[in-house]
Amino acid sequence: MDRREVLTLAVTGRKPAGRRRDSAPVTHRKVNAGLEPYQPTPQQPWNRHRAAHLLRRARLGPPRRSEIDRFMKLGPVAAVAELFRFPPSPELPAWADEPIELPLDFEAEYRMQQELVAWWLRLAHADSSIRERLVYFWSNHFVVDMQKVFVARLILKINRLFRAEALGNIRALTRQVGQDPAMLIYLDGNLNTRYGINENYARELLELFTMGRGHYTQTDVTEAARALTGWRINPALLGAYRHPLLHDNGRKTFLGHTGHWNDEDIVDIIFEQHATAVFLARRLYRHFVSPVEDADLVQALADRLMAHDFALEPVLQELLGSAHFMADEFVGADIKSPLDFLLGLLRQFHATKIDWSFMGLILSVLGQTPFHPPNVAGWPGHRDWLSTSSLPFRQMLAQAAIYPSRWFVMDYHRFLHELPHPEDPRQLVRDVTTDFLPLALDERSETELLAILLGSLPPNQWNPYRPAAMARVRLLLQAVMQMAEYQLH
Amino acid sequence: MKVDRRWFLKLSGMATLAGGWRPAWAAPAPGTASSPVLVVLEMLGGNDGLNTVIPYTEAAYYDQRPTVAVPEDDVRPLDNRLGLHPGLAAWEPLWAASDMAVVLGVGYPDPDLSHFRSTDIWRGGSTAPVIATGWLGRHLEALYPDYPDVRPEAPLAIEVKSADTLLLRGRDQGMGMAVNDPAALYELTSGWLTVHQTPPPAGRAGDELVFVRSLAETSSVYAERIYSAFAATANAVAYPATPLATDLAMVARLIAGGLATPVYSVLLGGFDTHVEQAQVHPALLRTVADAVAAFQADLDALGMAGQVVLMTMSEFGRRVRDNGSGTDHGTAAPLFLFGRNVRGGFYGHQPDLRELDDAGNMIHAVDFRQVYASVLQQWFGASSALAADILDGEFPTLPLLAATAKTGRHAPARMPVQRRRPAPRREPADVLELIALRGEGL
Repeated sequence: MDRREVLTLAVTGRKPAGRRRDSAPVTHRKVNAGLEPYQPTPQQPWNRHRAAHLLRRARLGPPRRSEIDRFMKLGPVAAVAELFRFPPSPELPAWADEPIELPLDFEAEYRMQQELVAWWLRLAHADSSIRERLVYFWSNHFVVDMQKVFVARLILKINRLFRAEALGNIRALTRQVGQDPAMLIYLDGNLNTRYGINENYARELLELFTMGRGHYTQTDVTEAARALTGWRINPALLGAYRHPLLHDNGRKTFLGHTGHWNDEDIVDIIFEQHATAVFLARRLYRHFVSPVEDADLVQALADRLMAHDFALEPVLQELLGSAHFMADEFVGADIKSPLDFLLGLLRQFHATKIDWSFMGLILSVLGQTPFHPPNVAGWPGHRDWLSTSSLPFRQMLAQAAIYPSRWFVMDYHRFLHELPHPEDPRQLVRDVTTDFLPLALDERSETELLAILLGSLPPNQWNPYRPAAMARVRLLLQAVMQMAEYQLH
Repeated sequence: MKVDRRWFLKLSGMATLAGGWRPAWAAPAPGTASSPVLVVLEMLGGNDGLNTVIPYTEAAYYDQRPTVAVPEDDVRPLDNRLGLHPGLAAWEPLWAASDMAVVLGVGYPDPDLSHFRSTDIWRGGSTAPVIATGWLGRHLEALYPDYPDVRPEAPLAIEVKSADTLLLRGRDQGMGMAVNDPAALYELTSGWLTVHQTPPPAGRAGDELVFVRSLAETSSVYAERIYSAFAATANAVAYPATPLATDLAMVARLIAGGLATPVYSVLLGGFDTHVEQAQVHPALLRTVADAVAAFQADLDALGMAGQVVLMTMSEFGRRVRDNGSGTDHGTAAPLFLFGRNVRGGFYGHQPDLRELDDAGNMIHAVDFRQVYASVLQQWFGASSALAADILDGEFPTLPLLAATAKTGRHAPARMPVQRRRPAPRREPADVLELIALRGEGL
């Protein structure tokens, strides 16, 4: 249990954590709205604020202004539908399906690792749908680590699986993950044989991927491990197979069911458990809505998952289009991941000439090395993204990003072109802050930002197209990105 | 025009960069030059205790571990029954000098074999169903109830390579600060543009906003002090070229440089040796042993050895019977304490390899909270009532630590601390590139 889960206890009157005492009491107000469709009302209008919220949560990286404009015009129903319209399958790196030859050529493998990072970041940046957000969600659920798996082709293979099944059936995905070579290597499934049981994958399958602690015993772990025995890797095919001589075909009793189970039977039994639906619903809720759980909503989501036989697409569409998701309480109520921070910054700056390999390094420093999560539980996310060590780096990045560098160049004119009235300095400040920040600023904050934009210039002398103006706009952007509000998601 | 902190302060007419920070004159300093420091070294993944302190005369050990057992000839005997893994050879002089305590069979009742739950239990110092705070977080919060409204002169705790872990979490906030590179931290906190802070709205987003602002405040308040301490002194010995050793070298410099921080935590991962244990585990142990030995030698040379205790921890030991390649999750394991004030020797007892639980795991001899209670009382001077409050129960102490340094060796005089001005700051883009190219997470 982490701090955020404990926060839910605040609702029941326990003392909350992670909160300074001198500030207002914790106000985790219960959001009464449920999964019923969101309908714009005068109190809860469909506005830029809410459109940006949907885009931030459903895609990887916050949107730029023109994207918010577009979602505004679409209206909430069409906007959600639009997110589920996937772009064509991406072009893969040339080496994607090359057989693995042993011994490995380490230089070549390192090069492919780098290319994989650059390939995926470019793809995530360009994606206009929910697809790469889901690839990221599944990568941080069914965790593998490139540091251990090492061969980039295998990491790409499971990454392709997540993309192909992004909105498919979770039970089917779980089965395929158990037979995936990267997962077999990462959690030692390929070393689990009838002659030597290795519990690693069985335990994490139950604890982290499907049911969660408390719903099975150590004996269930051992029996599941027996059923999972025998899987071997075929390097030439980038695949895996069940070796009949290494598989334990004996009877196993797992969660009260006895039979000659194999790995697929184990997954089927797991997905008969209500605990599995609740566990997956909780993961979805925390990722897309709020790190502070709402037990009723999680229960409702779990019921929907069961009703749809674990098909994700209808459930997720329902959630993102719901009155619950669109409630004001959730706007800006989470912390940006490094990926969201960086991709958003590049989008909002209209960055060109981006050095994607370098962006991979930046993400490492920010605490999110692509394809290298801290452990099998993945990145814990939320407040764990920020520390006294990583926040200063984000602040510095905001400062460095406003100057041209060899990593990317801001297209100032495209940036200006998106603004309706760049010639009005007050309006410019208001538009930038509304687009960049999930929370509204008070007048004093806006006035101080205006002072940064204008410097010693009288407001009526402001002309954004003058050469000197670009430097002033950049200072404004730095100040906005260094506000705590910019870290909110 | 140069855009820096001063420029902005002039522009906005703001009095202080640090928002609501008030100088902490009224609060007690968290430590003085002679106050105790605890360094926690966490071995993540579940260290195989049975291959760390080895019962090298027991047939059962060799019977059950055909693949991973360490041959009797390679073991470094501590007595006629137990010995160290050869990778821990660097600890032999510390054992001989009585600067090393070995607590055998440390665990807790009803052991949990999940990494995450057991890590929470160890960091939390609790086996309650819901663990929201850490034992050191609760200790620091008891001493500094007004933190962070009143910020002491130095951070209350520094975490290296981790941030806001449960270990240092108090009821109201994290008591620790993440620091991996004092020079980088100092450079990164320069030149921020700040404007008036719109009051946080009621609700969750407002709570997150307060959290972010508090972090920003903590880092900008402490960055310069940490760097000053770091730059004021140098390590007196050479450390091995491992990340863990580098982290401990930094901790030694901060302590010797006069930073009054009472708690540090460092960590090393990779101990989840399900496979190829014979290839991986020796190197991990050597990394730990050599780094700790260098750290102790450095503290000695810097005159700080009497002020610092280093304690190891790991979420569990491993299964007695090996799996043909490595070992699966287990239970009780030894734990180590180092320092001039440590009373060297064995505590607890080695679990009986013929009496295992249903899963084939050892039965613990010492509750880990007994060690914590001993550290709280004997090292930090907590009353038994306070220790019982922090640990939610009374746990009998072990005589692990002496309140004052053992005699026999004299501590050299402490080097005078010179507050050196930090080096001039570099351009943001250069700083960014330097840090990123080093390829290390902050």
